Amino acid sequence: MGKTIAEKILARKSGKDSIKPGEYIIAKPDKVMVIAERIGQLTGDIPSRWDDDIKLDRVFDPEKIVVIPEHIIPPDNSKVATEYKEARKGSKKLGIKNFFDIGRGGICHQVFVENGFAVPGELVVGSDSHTCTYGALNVAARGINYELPYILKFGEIWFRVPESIKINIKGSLQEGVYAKDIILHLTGKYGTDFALYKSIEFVGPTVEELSIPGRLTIANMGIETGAKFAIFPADEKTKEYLAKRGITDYNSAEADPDAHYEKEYNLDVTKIEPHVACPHDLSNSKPINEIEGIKIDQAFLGSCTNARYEDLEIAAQILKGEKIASNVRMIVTPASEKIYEKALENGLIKIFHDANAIITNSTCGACAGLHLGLLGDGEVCIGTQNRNFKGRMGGEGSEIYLGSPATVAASAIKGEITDPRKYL
Amino acid sequence: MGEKILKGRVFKVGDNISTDLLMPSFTMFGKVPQKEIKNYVFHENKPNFIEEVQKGDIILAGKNFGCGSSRPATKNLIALGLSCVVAESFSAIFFRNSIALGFPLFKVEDINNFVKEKELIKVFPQKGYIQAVKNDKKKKIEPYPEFLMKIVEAGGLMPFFREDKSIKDIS
Repeated sequence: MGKTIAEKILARKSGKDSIKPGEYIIAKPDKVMVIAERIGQLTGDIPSRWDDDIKLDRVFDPEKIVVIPEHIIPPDNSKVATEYKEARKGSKKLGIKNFFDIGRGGICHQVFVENGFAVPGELVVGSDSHTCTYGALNVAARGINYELPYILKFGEIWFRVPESIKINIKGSLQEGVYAKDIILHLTGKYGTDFALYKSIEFVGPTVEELSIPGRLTIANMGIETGAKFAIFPADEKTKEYLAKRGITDYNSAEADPDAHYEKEYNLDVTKIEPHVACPHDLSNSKPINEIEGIKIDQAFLGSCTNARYEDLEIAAQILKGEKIASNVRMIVTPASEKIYEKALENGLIKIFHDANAIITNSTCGACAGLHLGLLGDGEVCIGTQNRNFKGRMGGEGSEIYLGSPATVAASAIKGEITDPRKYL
Repeated sequence: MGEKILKGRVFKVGDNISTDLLMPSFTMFGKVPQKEIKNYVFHENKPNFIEEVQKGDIILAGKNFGCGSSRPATKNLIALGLSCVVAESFSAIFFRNSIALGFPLFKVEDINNFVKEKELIKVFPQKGYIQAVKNDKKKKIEPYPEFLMKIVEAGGLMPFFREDKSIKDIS
């Protein structure tokens, strides 16, 4: 019987010819993405935040490990600064060369992808839930966390082979409607656990039309549907994106024609409107006309979901020559320092600045409620990130709405949730 | 050897409980002393929980418990002395973290109305059911695969790490 993409990759990486959904296997990841502070705790003479006394003195293969200081950049307190300091030393000691230091990297997932570490057909685990982002480039990638020290030492971990589901997408997106609106439409229609424990494959003519940044946005939010993997087939666009990063030799994973899918979803995006996820759950996602007019205090254009160059460009086109509403603060956090640089060279940063937005360095920052843009009590934010959980951005009784970069930019100008098509 | 039975009062929390609610980001990254982080569990959605929770209590949840961030929120549940979580489903990362920490999770279908808040239940991990103490009503637990049970029984992944032992040896 044929295999799905996930089955193919897991079979290869566990050295088995045939595997089936529900089976438990031990597989060897091709790469491990690590958020730096844990390396600091595991190697330095500092306490672990997780109260465990273990230390890491060797890794399975330093070439296969990528370490990125990222959640709070630059550190906003000495404890984190010390962890990064120890991570720098510890990575060197362990022989890890792929270390993207502060000011040279940015948000881990964008750094991983833009530096050519996400390679089709590979298996990747990373110490962040949005590791599934790499699925845009045909990678079976998933977040892990507490298992990290074990994985770094042994280069292996258990997997339950997931059932696969297929999402066929057809139709052309209207102007002002983007990849973000597709995934928000899906969470609104099917909820936040319709893909729980499963591997999603996104296929169809619309998927082929989507840019790599658009695919990254959708794959990034795979976890918000419960998915283990959110995978796209590798195609010419994948090839072109990787060639620019010097990656030409890979063995992508294609689904067999007779592969078995537990369920198939068919979506025609022709009539999809811009969508906004309302508090406090992505299943509460609605077409914009149902919620236009809600007043906002903050607009956030950032995160590993939607702060790539293409996203900044869309927002800048709307904000050019405009000012954001007088009662609104807008925060722009590019997904990486490379993206920041390109936005600077091409005048986007000037457009944001002139519109009275604040531009930060690349960091997780406001998205995870860590720094650079927390909310006050009862405040309302519309952002381009992936989560609107209660309390996520701080503030008692605050509310988070999620939309595309265009929706966020238009809403910032008007001071209330606004259909971006009015500004195109 | 007799089965280790878990017994405790339940706290009911509903569907889609995120790890942001179990371990808010403002408590992480050195902002709250390590020993106090546990005091913020359900700070935003069930403010009285921390006052009321006692050692051995059980969380009874709906679907997708532990969704969102990969942070090891299970650590807080262990620190509070909870005996387990019973839910209709768990997020995959939360599930993995809990196995790696040797903390038991039990999947039981349709349990929203099984008991009322703070009523006592018993969990029989090996016999594979939960039981309401008040009326002996039972519900089946979805069994763990033996391989994962062995990791939980070993105390999670850390003993393997410490002893330089691969999980292949038990698979």
